[in-house]
Amino acid sequence: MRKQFSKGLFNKGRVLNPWLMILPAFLILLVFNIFPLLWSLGISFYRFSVIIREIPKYVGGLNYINVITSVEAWDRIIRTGIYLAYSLSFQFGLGLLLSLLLFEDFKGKRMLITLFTIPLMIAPVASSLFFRYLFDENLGPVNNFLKSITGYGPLWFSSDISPLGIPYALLTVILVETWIWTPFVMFLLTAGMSSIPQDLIEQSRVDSLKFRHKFRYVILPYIKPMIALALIFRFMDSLKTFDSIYILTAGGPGATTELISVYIYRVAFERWDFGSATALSYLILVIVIFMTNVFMRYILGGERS
Amino acid sequence: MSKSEYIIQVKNIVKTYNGRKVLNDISFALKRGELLAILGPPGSGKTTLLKIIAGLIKQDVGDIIIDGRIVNDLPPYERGVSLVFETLALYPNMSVYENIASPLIAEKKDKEYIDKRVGEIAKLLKIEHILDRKADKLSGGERQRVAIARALAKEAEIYLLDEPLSNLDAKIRYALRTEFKKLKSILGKTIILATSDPIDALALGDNVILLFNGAIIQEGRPSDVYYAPRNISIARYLTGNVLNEVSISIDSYGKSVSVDAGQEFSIDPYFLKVLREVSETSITLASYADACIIDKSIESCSGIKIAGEFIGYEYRGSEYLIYARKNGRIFRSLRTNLPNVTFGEKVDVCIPHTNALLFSSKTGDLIR
Amino acid sequence: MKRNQYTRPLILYRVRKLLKFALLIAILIVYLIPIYGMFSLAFKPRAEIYSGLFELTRITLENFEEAYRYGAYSAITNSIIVTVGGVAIALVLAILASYAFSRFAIKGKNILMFYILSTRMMPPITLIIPIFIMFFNIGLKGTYLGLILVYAMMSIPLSIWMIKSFIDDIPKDIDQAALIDGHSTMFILFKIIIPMVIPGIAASAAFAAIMLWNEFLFALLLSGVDTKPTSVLLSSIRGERGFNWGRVAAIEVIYILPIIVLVFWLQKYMLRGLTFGTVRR
Repeated sequence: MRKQFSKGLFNKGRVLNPWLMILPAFLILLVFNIFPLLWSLGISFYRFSVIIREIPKYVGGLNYINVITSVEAWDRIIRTGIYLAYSLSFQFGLGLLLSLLLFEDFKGKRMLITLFTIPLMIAPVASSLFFRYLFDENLGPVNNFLKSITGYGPLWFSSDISPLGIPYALLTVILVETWIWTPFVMFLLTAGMSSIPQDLIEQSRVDSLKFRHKFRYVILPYIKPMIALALIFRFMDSLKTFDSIYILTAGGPGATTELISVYIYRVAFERWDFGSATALSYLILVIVIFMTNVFMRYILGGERS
Repeated sequence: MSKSEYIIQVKNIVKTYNGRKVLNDISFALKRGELLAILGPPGSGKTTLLKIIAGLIKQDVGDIIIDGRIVNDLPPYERGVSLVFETLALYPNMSVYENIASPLIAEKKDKEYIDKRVGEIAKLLKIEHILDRKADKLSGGERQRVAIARALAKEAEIYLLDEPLSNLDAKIRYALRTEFKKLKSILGKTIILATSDPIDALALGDNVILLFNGAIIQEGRPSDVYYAPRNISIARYLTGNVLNEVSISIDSYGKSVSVDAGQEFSIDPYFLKVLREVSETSITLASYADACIIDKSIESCSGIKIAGEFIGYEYRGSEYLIYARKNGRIFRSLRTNLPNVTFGEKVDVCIPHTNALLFSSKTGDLIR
Repeated sequence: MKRNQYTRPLILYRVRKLLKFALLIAILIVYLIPIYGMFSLAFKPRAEIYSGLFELTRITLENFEEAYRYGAYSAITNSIIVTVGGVAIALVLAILASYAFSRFAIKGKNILMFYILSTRMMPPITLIIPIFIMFFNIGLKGTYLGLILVYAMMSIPLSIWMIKSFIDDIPKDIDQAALIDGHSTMFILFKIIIPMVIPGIAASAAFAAIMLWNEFLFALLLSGVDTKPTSVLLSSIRGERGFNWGRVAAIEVIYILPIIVLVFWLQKYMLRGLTFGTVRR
């Protein structure tokens, strides 16, 4: 280590120990991130219920077993799976369409892209609340419009099954989330497309390639890493979906829209069963890490870390 | 501690990066007031060596001794060195004044002192008119001068310059090189200059060290190195690969001599003597352009004379570089006027043995 | 225009391009209708709220007045306090750490950087239970400081990753020149490096600010009656019945306006911010 002279941070030639510079940031991370994570893990091995007002009792893996055998939990997980399938398809389908439309260079492209990212950047709480109004069954403009045309406005927040096979409430949540996040996918894919070398594009134009060939050979290779990245991000984030559900349906009606994050929240802060909640959240964390790793290795083949 | 004769001694420096020996047992010493030129192609380790001397990189093995003290564990600031980076490393968001004043500000000198000193140096380097300009808005030559000015502002024992002239175009290089010579005598400082241009090294250095692939392959005064290069590759490097070369071979019986520049030649017995003496079958004769003569017809040549054909010339201001070719080999001669020949016409090439360098054809090492 | 065998494909090509553009604009308009709706609803007089989303005959500010009486302005103030506080702390600490990571060879650097990247993976719900308990016991629940510290924790990883990448772009020679001059690390950081990466730092700050401004879960559980930010205020509206949508729209407009402004300002840095800085072009 270099020697340090007189006191004072700004003194001549004083080279700071780099660990000193990292310390404050890591202190905060240690106290508010690492420590809670470990504590959470600890709690998951206890029966910790605030209502019962007893001293938390060590129960080993009981919480985990309860969770794994809980019909309720599995129901939520399946529901989350369905949600993932639909919402990821919508987001990537629409996102791909938009980025293909944006493939050309034209005036105002930058402005257009920026406008598209607005739904992404405003608070999900705010947009969800407004969608709550838009889709309100009696007073909302959407149903007003639909009723004036078809005489019928679906009950967007009910558990009736929609033409897509899922309850309307879940569909509404999916639509809102799609609205919010499609720009993210679109943005990443557009960024990937802009890395295609210009001569390749011109070559395909000169050769008058049919679209499907153009897509497979020119575009796809370059957006593959971006698709993978977007998929990883969207997968991780979708499991965390909370804000919009809380505002739109609060998990209801019943448990129709109670996805995994909302469920954990309820277990923790409505039933006050911290033990089960933490156990479940760790289970989910493990699944996420596992799937992310598998996914990265498989699709990327070690390209991007 | 007595003031040692040498201001800096470098002993057995070794540095390895990723398994590759970037510097291999480097040692040399420099007296006060001298300019040492470290000459080598890009990647030979010059920058690494300078940074080790400055204290920015730590060597694996070896010592750096400045003014009698071992400075191995001292930070750059305490070593009494100043460095001009190859990349210049000016502070872009600061003005020229602030850049030059930087070392003085670090030393917490007062404003009058700083003003005076910056003014002096700026005047010396002719950059007073740009003192207020931001450092990222300068031309190449201006940036170079500011970098040198900043290095000079610091009171140091030794000044290290890493390729100070390489970023410039030929005209400015020539001007700066001349100014440099003047500066050197005015300032009387001890300087270590790293360069890949042989002209810089030979023109400016009191001593030259040749660094190839992390090892010193020759050192000495410029004239020593130039007129007695240890290996033919050094001679080639020094001339920028425009060396005159001829291979002289003797057959296994020691009888007939052949030259790889065709059949029409005449050879001084001197060379045969050398060939027999060193018991090699082939030697390479090399000469610099100023030692070679090309003319329409040369009567007496106490060396090797080859018949070739005239293929062109270069005008270099005060002299001409004449080209002749024979059998694919190109010979160059430096003379003050053009010979009265037309293209393609036959000319004689003469390389006198007094100025010739003889190398072994096998190893490339110098014979005499 | 000359007619030859190339004309027809050329016309087709241009028509296709125009259609694409038209489709794009159409989608964009439909897409942004909710935003427009928010704004138009906010300025509509109470009587006209249910008459139609698009017509805007009279502009009035009465909804904004209502919002004020509802407590929206103190909620916005709280949002500002916790966001600015969180970003400020995170920024200072992140700058120090980023410089250290960028310039020094630290044992275990890779592990630490990986940890920082992995914080994005962690669902907030896992963290919040212990933090909730912690805050309850220490007495930080409902305080500004508590939420600010948690927000700093959330912003630090993103900020370190982004700022470090900006500092990496500066050649190390400049640091070394300053070392030879005799400057201290702090001087180099504050007087030389930071001025060179100010745009990058500002962009990092903006992304962190957007994230914290919009944050909901931690705010919901850790803020108190006086300190609740706008997101929590809006969520409490959700449970009510038969209320004034105009007022809600007004609150939302105030809430999202700063973000919209920031988004336009941040165009250049989007890619780095959205992908956590992992993708560089």
